[in-house]
Amino acid sequence: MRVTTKMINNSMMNQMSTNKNKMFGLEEQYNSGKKIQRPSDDPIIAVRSLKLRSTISEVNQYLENNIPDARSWMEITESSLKNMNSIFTKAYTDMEHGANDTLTTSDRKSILENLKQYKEQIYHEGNVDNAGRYVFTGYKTNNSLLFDRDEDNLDYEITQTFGRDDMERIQRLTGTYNVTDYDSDNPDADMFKKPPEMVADLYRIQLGYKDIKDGSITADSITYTTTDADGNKVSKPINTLGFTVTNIEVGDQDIYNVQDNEIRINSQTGEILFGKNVYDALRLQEDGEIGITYGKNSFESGLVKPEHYYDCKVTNKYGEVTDYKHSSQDIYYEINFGQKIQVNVNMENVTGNEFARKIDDLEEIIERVGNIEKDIEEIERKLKDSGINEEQKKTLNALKSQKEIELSLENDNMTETFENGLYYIKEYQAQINVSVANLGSRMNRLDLVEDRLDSQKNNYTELLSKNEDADIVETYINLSSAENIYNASLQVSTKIAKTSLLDYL
Amino acid sequence: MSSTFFGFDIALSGLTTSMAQISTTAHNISNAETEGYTRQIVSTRAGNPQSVNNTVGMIGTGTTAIEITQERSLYYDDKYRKSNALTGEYATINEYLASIENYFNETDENGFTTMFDNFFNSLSNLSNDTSSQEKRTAVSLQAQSFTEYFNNLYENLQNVQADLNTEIKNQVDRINSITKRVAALNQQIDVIEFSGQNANDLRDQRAVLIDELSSYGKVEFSEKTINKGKNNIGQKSTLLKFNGEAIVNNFNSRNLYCKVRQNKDNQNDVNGLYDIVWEDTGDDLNLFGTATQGSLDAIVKLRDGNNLRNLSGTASGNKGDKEIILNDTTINDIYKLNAPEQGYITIDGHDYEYTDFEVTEVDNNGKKSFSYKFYLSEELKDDVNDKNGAIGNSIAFKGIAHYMSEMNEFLRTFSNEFNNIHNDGTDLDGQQGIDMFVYKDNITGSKSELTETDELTEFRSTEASYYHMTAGNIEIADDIISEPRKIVTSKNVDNGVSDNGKLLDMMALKSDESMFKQGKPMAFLQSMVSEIGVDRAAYKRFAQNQSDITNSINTQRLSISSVDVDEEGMNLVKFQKAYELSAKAFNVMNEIYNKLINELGI
Repeated sequence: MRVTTKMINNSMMNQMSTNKNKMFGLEEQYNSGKKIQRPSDDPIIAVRSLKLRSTISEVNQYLENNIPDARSWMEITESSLKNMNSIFTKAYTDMEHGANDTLTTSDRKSILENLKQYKEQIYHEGNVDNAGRYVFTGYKTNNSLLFDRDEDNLDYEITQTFGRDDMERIQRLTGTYNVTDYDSDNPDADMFKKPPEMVADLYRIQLGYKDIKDGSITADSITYTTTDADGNKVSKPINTLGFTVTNIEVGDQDIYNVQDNEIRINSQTGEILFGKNVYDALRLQEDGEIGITYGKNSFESGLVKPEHYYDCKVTNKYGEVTDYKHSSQDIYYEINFGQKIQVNVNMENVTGNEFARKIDDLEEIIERVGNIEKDIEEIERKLKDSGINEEQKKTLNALKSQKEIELSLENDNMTETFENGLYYIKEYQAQINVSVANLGSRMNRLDLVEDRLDSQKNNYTELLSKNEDADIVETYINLSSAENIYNASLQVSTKIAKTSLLDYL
Repeated sequence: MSSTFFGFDIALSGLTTSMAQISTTAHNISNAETEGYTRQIVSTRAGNPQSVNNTVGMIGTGTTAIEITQERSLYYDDKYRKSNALTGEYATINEYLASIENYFNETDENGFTTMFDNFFNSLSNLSNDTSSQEKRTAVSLQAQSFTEYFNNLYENLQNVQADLNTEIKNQVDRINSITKRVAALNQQIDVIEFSGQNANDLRDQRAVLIDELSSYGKVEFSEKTINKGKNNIGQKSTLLKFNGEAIVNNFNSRNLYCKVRQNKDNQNDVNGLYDIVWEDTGDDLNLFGTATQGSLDAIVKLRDGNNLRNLSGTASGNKGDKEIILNDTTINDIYKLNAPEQGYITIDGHDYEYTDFEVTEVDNNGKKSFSYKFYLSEELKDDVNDKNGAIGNSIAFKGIAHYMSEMNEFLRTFSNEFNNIHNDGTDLDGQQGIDMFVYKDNITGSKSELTETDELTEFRSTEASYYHMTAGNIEIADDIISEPRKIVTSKNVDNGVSDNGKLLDMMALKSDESMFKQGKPMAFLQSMVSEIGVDRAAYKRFAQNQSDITNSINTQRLSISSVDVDEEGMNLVKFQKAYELSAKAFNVMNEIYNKLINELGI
């Protein structure tokens, strides 16, 4: 082939440009530390890098944000549950003391004071927050568990549902006497002949709160729901079953003398009392549900807010209504690809509002026992009076002996209430233990996931580096060899381009 | 009997021939670096011998220079031009794909995949504390960065499209100027060659112009002798074809011009795109055919390439109607629909302008498809039943139009899925959720509320729908920007602020494998990057290979036609020596006649 100067020049320029391109590419790799600078350098590496980077970004999100957030929430929950458990243990000791020992007045007082303290502490533990968010209140993290001050501006309409086992048998006295029944001018020992006695077959449902709105429970607001043959729930007002509903007025005598077909409402103590026939009828159906709707508009500070336990409608002073439907409010955090974990424990799974009510019961019975003792002391004082005549003495003794009978009955009652309290504390502790165990296993899972993510992060980071980082040693060697080639080509080119025949003519 | 001074004549012929050869060599040397110059050679022939009246026989009469010819190989010219058209095509595609690729350069950790990840991380953060104002603001900001990134990308791609459009105009102007000069050269060459001379240098000039033209398109050049004339050179008829169509016929060139489109071909096109048409007939220039190559073809493909995703289908309508219905169409998905709001629908070579269209879904034995009704601004000239109707061109190339429509598909699909969840819940104030991803209306400039899911299959081009949402106009609802409390996290906030159920649903969208045929949303974005990466890598390789091929053809061509200075140097020495010897012969003759005339005096 004929080779001309122009051909040689063209070819030299081409080769030089190829060499320079090669060096440029290597120089870019060397300076950026990356094998590829743009997707077209190697689309496979580029897309693999994108995938890995996206995965690492997600893993980081889990490791640096979601898991620590979940852990801090769970740790606070856990320590709070443990505190509650130990407070319950203390309360248990006091209750046991009350149930087993003969108590002096001051004993009872101090036990009651202690228990009230414990109750406060327990609910206070339920009020803890994680960076301003209450941990035990489900989704309502901006709403504290307790009323933090006396609240009179919110009008609650609370609906509670009860099963047949929520009806408990209680012992209340009827036919008791007051010291004021004694008339010193007309002493009559026969007046105090009939001893007080326990009401047979008295049943009650204890509402979540005492001091509910007077008259807020009517025949319509108590419903009874059963399942019919087709499996449909049928709900009807309780009076359609043939029972009467009555409200007790303050100061009524013999409030526990409930008729067989009667349902009595004691809004002061927050109790619904059932007569024998009512109880028997309601006992029949295993899945029967008693729904009770009542109103309450004044809450003392420290009481739990109803919306955390029950369905309720709240009207504030501006007339705005919020409708709370009670449901399972489990908060989930995403802690791994497609893996969620429940971080919270709902207060209803820890301690019901009932514990506070058991303490109310105790307070009430202790107060009753105290009052009887005071009455007896007063009668004794009257007996020691110097100007007392025989008839008066006889009458007072009769009253005293009836009061002593009453005292001994109520003492039994008190012991039983303490025992009842013991039972509830055991139940709550068992519940707390389940919650703690459950939480613990979730925390274990969190740790496992974290470990796995940690090692995944390392893996992915290493893969990413392997995928896209240039091997500096290799790049350097390639770069120097490209440099050598370039130098050589320059040398040869100049040599060839410089000479021609003219040099020798 | 020869003339007494016959020897002088022979020496003289040697002198003039050598002189011509030396001049041609000098011409060659001085043009050694001239672009397109073809070396010239003086053809010589020994003079006709004369018989002399003695026993010696015939005697030579010296030399004659017959003609000066070019060492040009028409075969390699043709081969070079064919190869050069492809080189031009690949080089142009490579160059512009590189600029598109720069905008899709996800390797630098600041691309849309990062934005997308960040947005979802901000959602994840919010799900850990749904009441936090800072985290809500972060979600709103990340969502804005995400949409703004696409707005930017869209604008950049539109800029590339506008650049391509300008480049089309430049190239067409250049082609017109080349063809005018070729026509003029044809005429000059004809004049010279008709008189029996070779118009070597003019031919070189013409060849250079045709070489240049061959990078713009596929060029065929043919030359036929129609009248032999003097010296067998004579009159020629020439024909130059560009992409298969005659562009210079003898002394006449045809002009191309750029006609501004009144309507868009694709929804996302910038305004004022050009169509290339012949000035004389008004017909479109032949492009995107199998017979067309070259950088002009490449640029139009880059600008309009929609990967065969234009709208076409079977038309129905009768003469006189002002409506056309299209059924069995290529596009049955609002997310993929990129026909312009107003435009032309082409049936049987006639463009009917439509001002508005309406889409309904038809169910054909369980197979659902779209039926389009176009409202025309003029009456149908003929029945169009069962004829194919199309909007824009179907171009099998992934150009700007393709990438824009990919982005639109992604954003429309994702926005709809996201908005559906966001609508199905309440914000922090208990209000029903609003659309988070909205679009800014092109005409009114206000942000539009979007439509319900069932309107994805029934909509009108004049009404709000996801059809109008593009990467260029997608935005975050004003209410969410100004009031992050509007971000929905739960089905019903009355249950409590920390209910993150809806948020978890939104987060699950990130790993929703069924959202696209490519899989998860991220896979769609990644496949977009890989698409441009693979395409560019392929064209980089094609461009390199094709340029190597063209170079090697050129080398072969140069091997024949280019000037070699060594050779010319040698020729110079050779011809100088020949000249000197001829002069010597003259001297010898001179001495001989001196002897004869002066010293043999009688």
